[in-house]
Amino acid sequence: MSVLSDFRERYLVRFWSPLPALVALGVASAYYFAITGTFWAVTGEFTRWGGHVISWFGYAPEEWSYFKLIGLAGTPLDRIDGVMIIGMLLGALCAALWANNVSLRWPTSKRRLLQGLIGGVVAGFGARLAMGCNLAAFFTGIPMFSLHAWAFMLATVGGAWIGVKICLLPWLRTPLKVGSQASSLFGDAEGTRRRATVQARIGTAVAVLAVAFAAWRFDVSLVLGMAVLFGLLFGGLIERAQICFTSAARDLWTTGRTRAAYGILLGMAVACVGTFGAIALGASPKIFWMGRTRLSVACCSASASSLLAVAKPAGCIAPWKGRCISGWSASAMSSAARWWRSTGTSSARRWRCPIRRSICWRASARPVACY
Amino acid sequence: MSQAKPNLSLDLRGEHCPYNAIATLETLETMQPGQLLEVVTDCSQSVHGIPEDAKAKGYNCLAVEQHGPLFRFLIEVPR
Repeated sequence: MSVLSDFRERYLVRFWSPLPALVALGVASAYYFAITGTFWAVTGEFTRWGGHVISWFGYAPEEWSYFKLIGLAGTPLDRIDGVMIIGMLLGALCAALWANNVSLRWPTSKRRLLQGLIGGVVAGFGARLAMGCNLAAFFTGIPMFSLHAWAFMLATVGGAWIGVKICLLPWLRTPLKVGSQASSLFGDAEGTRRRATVQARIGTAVAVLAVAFAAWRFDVSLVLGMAVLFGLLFGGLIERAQICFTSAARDLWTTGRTRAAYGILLGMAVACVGTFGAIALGASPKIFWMGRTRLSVACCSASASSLLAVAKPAGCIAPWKGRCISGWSASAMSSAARWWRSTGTSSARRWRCPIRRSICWRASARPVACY
Repeated sequence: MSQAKPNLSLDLRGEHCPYNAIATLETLETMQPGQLLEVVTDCSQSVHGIPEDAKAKGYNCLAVEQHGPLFRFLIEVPR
């Protein structure tokens, strides 16, 4: 076996251990924040893409209070989040191709398809109400020292328990296919090898495309170019180590699996140190409000996403994986009730809403929208 | 690829996590000591999940193989 194919087998095909990958993600996310000034987040940008789609139909979403809050200026190619996500998709695709792991996976039943579709809607909706998915409101939210992320984490773990109970109900189980002979699916080793060669070539083409995209964005600004590179790293790591933040919470309750959860805690601990450093050097932290209703509704939403088996981030946002239509984040949601203002995190507390008893949106310690 | 002859083979293609790990554990519970179960999945996450769960419940995970987009596990019920 040549050195090259040995390297390929060891690092590009065999999956990486999630623990070191999560620590690497923690370090990378802290650097990402220090360099770009924003945290590693995904669903907010998806919401903006939704906003662009709505504007094609003659609406003006940029005037809606929610889009005023999260911003809808420019195109995905001009935004840090936008180019980072494109980088993530390319990075994950490239890693999956090099591992000969790209194929269309069909769900076992229509029930699963529907489960995924409903799960996607609930998870997406919840993530928007919580101002973040399991990145902005969890993995990169907690290192930002934003209290709302703690509420999100606790509620996700609690909600996942309810979701798992529903998930295991008989009508959501499919009949098992058990045989008494070894599977005949693995006879064609030569075919698998040929497939691997083709996918590796496409993977290299995607890598070249990704580098060209990064170079094109570097031409606009250093920050945009760096965001593409970080996106490639995030997507590649998630796909290589099969990191899924939601399943870490869910699998505590399904089979009692804990390794991924420990890894996430370790990754966040590392990210805390890096993020603290960045803030100490003058970066402004991304703090969100915390509402009274956040906990309770977060619970419902997290259970819904568990129920729907929302799985692997890289897979779910990657359009080539047919079955993962389910959206990709655990989500906490807060309903449109009054926020529990006094529980706002430190910087949010300084500002008082001019309209008493109104519903207030606040972010980053300044009034953004009131209605 | 391990040539050991399994007593049962579980085809979980199309079933994603956590269902594939749960189905594996449920099938293992029905088997006798010393018997060997072959599990086939197409879910990448099962590569970490199924061995971790099988080991945690006291079974011996003898092989984890990747054949392109398919994954094959051989799990033994301890004697």
